Amino acid sequence: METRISKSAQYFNEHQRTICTKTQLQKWFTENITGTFISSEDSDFMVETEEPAMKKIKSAVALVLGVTLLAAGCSGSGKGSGGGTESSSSGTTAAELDTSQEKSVHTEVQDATKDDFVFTIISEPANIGQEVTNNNGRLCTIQVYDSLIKENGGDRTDLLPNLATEWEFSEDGKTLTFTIKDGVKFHNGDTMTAEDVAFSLDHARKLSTNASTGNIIEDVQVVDDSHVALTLAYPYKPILNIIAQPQYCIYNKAYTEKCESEGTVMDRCPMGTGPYKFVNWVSGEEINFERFDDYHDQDHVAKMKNLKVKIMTDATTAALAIENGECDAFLGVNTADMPRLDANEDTIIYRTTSTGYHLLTLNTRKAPFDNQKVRQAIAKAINVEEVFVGGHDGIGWITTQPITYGIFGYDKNFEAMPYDLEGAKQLLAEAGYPDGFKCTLKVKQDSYYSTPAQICVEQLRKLGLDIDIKIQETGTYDTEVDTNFDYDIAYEMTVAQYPDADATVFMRLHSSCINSPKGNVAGAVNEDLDKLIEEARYELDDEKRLELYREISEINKEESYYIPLVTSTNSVVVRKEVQGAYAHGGGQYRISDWSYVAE
Amino acid sequence: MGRYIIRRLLQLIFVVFGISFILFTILSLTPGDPATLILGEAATAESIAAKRAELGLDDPFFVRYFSYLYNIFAHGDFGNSYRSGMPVFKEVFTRFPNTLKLALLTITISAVLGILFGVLSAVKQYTWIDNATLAFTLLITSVPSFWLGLMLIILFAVQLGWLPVSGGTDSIRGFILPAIAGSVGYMANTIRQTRTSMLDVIHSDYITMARAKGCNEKTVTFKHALRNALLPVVTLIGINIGWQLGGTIIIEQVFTISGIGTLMITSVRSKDIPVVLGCVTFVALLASLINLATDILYAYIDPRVKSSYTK
Repeated sequence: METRISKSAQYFNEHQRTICTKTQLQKWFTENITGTFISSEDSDFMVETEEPAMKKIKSAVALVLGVTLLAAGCSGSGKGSGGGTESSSSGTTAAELDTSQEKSVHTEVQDATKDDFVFTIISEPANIGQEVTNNNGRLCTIQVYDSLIKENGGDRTDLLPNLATEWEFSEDGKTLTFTIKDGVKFHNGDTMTAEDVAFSLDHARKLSTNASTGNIIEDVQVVDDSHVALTLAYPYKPILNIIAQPQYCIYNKAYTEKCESEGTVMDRCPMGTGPYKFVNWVSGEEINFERFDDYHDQDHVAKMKNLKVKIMTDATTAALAIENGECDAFLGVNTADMPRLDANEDTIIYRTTSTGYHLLTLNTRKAPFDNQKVRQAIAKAINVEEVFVGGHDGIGWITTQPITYGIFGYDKNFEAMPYDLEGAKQLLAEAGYPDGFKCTLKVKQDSYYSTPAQICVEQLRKLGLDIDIKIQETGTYDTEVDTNFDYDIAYEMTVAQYPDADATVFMRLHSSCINSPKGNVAGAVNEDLDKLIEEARYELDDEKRLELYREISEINKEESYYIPLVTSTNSVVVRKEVQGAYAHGGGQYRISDWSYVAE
Repeated sequence: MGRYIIRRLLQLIFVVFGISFILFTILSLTPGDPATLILGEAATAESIAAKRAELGLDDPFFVRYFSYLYNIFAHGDFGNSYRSGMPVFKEVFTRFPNTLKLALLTITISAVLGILFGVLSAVKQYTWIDNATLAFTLLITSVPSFWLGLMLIILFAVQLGWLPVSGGTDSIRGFILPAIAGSVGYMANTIRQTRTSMLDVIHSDYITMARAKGCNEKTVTFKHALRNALLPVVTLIGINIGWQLGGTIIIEQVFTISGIGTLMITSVRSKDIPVVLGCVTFVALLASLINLATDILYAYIDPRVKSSYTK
């Protein structure tokens, strides 16, 4: 005898709509509902109550089938299967994640018991250096190069001195002066000078890959042997976050000029001041580094002598490799492999916020999305918890503002538009569409986007919209949606290049970006919004900036140009022997602070 | 024979021209901007515009195409990768040894076992050996290679620990599982083709004559029958080698082998046009040369074919 129970009616009322994971929901039902949990579908759960004998027969049959499926690789290595009715740590709440981050950052790190550390990634970086464009490149860059400032482990908002010992803004906020650390050595033995620093920052700001941040810096000058000054186009507090990124790492001027004159691609033979020296790059296979014993920060000299960044293009194979002990850390794990790795005693997954959040974009350039009531109706019809649990397996953070969760400017107490299907239908009727209308939702073909997008489509069908989903290849999507703005509703992700609200708010909501590819894709034109965004950009006081971003978020909520959904996670899997590990949203894994201690 | 070979080699030039133009056109006309794809999710309008200018993507189609051809013929330069900035052929030749090792091992396994089982099945037609071979062929044809690859990894690498999870290492151990997974499909085709060809031949009059003359079965099968049955099999193996050297993408992906297939997939996804053109040109040249080698091999297998080449 099967009973179907709606989770939203019981669990959420009891727990006041607390952010939770699918595993926690399953666990709650097992403990509180008479019978045995069978399965979950959409928003409902199935509970079974039947004869014990019949149950045993079915269990036996299930076991035989399960063994067959096991051979087909459905339940992984056999050390323990995650998910289902077994207790599993797949997915963690924001509170648990914050705690685990704290624990990993403050863990005491012992000396390593081996010299070689293997870190697996699933795609080869295009380069190592200032032109990095993805986390894999940043991972490699940060081993070889240093920036003037660094982020404190996984905490992106906590900035620490690195190659600069201190910094100071001028009164008008348009000049930022750095004091350079003395006695810093490059890997070739040269000593770092203020000239090197000024050259590097000037070089970085002129790169095409840094065009959006480079525009903020007007000039870089050597003040004296120990000081370098940046002249900014306008006062900009987040410039410190930008300077902390690997894209603004410090090069050796002489070496760079030598490579340029010889036509050598320096990104393939990098040489910096970082805790590891570059050894070699076997294209498509691995990149090797060796400890730099004369590292300027002797408290952070690498524990392990050799670092190999291994490229394994298949995430499933890489997950098997880390379970097998063939690598020590792995960046790029699939969501499908996470329950198994979570349950595996030999592996630990660290998670943190990624730099981006998922959202729905409504094209205000086209009717009926130019009607505020229609947009509000759509916002009210989206049940974000369902998208979170069904589309993201309950892993991540529900996001209520058009700002990535956890970065500067995000207010954890801000409330988004509440889910209200009846209210949404009423609004749609008031807007003149009591029977809905025909439209399309476009999304990229990656299941990371298309799965939650399909949930959104189903929810909008309940609203009464005659909506189709168009899953498109990335290039096609970029051209149609982000460049030509040829769409009705789109599901996508906004990524912040650095952990400050301005990194996404300006380009998404300011009217000057209305024709920019990947900019103000919704076509939002709002004078009040523009003023607030500009004010927040130029303000140097943090409290005032926070208040301004709250106001900006309120306007977006009212206008519903963008419907923020979920900030995804960046995860790293490590072997249990690894100490000092942490997850980082921007790929900045300082392996020199980690250690491998075999039991 | 020499003139035939030279004629075939000259045809290659037209093949290269044709392929480059078609591919360049397709890549230019399909949606997707290389600058946006290279810069990734964090791309902004300014960085996209700057990258496009840097890569010369704003130039008209024919300017870019003829500039590309000029660099090839005047400087032997196939351009640099949009993603990495490395010369295209350096990228290709760095990965080609892995593809070559995998291809040779895969073809060796599939050819040797395919011919062996095909001959056995034909000679023992209608027996349990024939039935078992056909059933085995059906099974290995039906199994997807990526699934088989993962199963082999789970069994031999994870459970038993005999072989590494990922392939493509310096040692041959890294290529055993990928070669087995990659060879099954080709083995099935080779078995069927060999069996069919052998069955055609062993019922011929000259085979009956050979037996009547007192030749033993081994001589009849391998010296008289197999040699004549080999022509279509050699064609098939030649085609298979061409496919393999083009990079078996699925096997390379599952076993994380850094080969031509993986390079092509990455380049197509990021619209790294110079690398795509370089890879396809290289593979097309290789495939053409292999076809030529196959045709030359015919001449040695069947002297009647050799005489037709010299006409």
